[in-house]
Amino acid sequence: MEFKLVKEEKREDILFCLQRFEDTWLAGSSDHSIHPIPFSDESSPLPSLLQGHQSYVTGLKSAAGRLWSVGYDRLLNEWDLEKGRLVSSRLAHRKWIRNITASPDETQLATVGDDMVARVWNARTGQLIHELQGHAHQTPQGFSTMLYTCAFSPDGKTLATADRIGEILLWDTHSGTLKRRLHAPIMYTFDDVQRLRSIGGIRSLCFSPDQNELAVGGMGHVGNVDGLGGKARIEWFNPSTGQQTGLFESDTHQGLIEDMHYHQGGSHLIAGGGNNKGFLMYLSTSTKKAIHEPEAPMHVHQFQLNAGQNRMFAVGHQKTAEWSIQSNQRT
Amino acid sequence: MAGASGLIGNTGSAHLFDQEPMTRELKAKGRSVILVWLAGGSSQFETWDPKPGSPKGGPFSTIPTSIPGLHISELMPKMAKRMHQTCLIRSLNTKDSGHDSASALIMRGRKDEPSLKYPDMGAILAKELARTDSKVPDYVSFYSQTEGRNFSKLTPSFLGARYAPMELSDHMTPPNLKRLQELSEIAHLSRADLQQVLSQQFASQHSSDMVKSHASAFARAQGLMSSESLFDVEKEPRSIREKYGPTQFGKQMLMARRLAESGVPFIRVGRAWWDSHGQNFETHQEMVPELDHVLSTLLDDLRQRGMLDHTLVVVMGEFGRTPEINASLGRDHFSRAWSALMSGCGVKDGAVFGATDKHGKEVIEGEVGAGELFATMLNAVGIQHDKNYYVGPRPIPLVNYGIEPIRQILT
Repeated sequence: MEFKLVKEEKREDILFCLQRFEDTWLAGSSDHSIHPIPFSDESSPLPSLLQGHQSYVTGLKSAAGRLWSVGYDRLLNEWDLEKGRLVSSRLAHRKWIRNITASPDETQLATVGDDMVARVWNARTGQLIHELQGHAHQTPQGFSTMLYTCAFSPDGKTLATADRIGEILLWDTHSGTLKRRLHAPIMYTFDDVQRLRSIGGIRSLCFSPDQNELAVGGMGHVGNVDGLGGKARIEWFNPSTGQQTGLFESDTHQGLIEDMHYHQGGSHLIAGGGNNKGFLMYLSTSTKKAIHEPEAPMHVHQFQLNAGQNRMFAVGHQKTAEWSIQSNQRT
Repeated sequence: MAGASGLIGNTGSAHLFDQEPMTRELKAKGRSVILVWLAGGSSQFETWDPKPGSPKGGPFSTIPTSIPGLHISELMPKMAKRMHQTCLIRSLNTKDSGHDSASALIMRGRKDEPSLKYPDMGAILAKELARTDSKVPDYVSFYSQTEGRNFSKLTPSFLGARYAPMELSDHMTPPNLKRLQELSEIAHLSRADLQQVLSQQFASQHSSDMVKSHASAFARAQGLMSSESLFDVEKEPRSIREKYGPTQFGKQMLMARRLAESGVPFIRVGRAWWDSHGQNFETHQEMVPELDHVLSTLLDDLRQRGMLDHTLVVVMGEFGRTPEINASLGRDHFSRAWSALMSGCGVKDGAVFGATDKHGKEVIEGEVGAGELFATMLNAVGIQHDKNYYVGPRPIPLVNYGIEPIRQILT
């Protein structure tokens, strides 16, 4: 497979998240708004801007016919896209909310924030179901830490959450109990000699369609924590045993793996991210090797595939971009 | 003009017995400066001059402070309650965005000449404020991290080695202060007595500056050896140590207070490394709460001990950070519009000087540079900025001619 860039558009803002809702692509922005994005498959008239957050909008998810968003303002908002208005808003975390995801059956939402708590919500009523506490509230060196990302397993029974210091916690979504802790400590670099601070963290999680593997994305060891200078890194774990089953560190790209999606039934994985530049990766999940690692026109923060999985839409640093995914002889 | 401070050659020889009346009076007052050096350049947006309405202002919100109408970053709730005890300068344009050269500029108040390196503020303050009979070091610099440690090498330049900093990097305690283990206390004191007798005999027959300097240097070395316990934070009550917290930065700030309390004129506490080219917001999430805690603890401690009337605390780095956000969610070097904070001796409580535009790209009110900042610090502790030193016959002003302090913030 190869990615062929078919469209890119410059913007002034930074887009952190992307969600298809009804027939519209929507992206959460650093300007505190949710923007309709005119990708090439857009057929219906674009709705108006959604305004109701007071800081960066970092997560968007549709579930049960509703559109939900989260942001650094600590709010979980529900929107009526047709009327372009806020339906409900609640203070969902005590610190920045980093991400939101929905269960495959769209009955539950999960949010994660820098209060180091994962919260599971009823996607229809917005009521809190579970408050999952288990991530450390400080780094081993006593500094603030962050809870970046979360993902449901395909059967919806497990929620994975991952933090700055490389801890991945697996939760039973029915009981709200902790099932297992996984460790990817290389994703976190603390420099106690040169700069006395840290960088890194796990930024993306993705269960394989057969649920036998959990892909964990971030960045390897960083020599100079002033920038995102570590090799882009993915570790795979067996969620049942907790064993690491694979590892990929890019020799081509440095920076954070911000988002990942399985492709072709789980035989391949697509990853996107960046540092001052952006990148995409197409990997074989059997060999854990990269097949294709093109540059992206921007640091990719999030991307989605269309239903046919032959088109890819991405948002990121001051740009949106769109690729066709084409087969070639190499795969 | 106060040329009586001494004819100082460029060879490093120090003039140890300054007789100028005003200087003597200053020295008697025991004034000190603690410079909290945010090495690498902290972001003014995420600390003292937030721009929440600007597209590149960043994601942090602001909080009101104890000065009506003044807001600072939400990352500094403790300092927000103490801003009425500080003096905030929001209009620095220092025109140099390289770590090394900007560090030198800020520490020396001006750029060196090709043939003349200027002494840094620590050396000048040590010379002007140190008591001649002092048994403590005059200039101490803590800088534990390796990054940026050698930028702008601290220098007394023509003031001579007498005013060079005691630089503490790997350890909190100066090396070689302890007497040799194989030497008993009695033997140590006996040797000192013998040295003194021999020196006095020699001095009575050979009167010269060099002999005086040698005797003085020997006395200082003995004084420094007796000040070893100053560098032991364990001598502080547990309750005080706990207030400063367990971090290296906290311990060094507590040490700075101990040193100032004992009469050390200039102490620099370097907290490296703020150079957030990538992930600026997370870097500041990590580092600003520590600064907020440690700085507010220091100010409270100094106030409770009655030390703020003779101790000036200055908080700054070599520059600020850009009003742009790069693709790594970082901010790069920016010297055109940034901030510094002062508190204590000689500066007005609750003053806010200068302003930047709504995006933080330009200074729109009260623009000042490194020279004005330097002159302000000197005046705050009672040193006339227009005083001259001399290198040979050439007068060397403490700051460049024409530079004035920020009089609006001086008491």
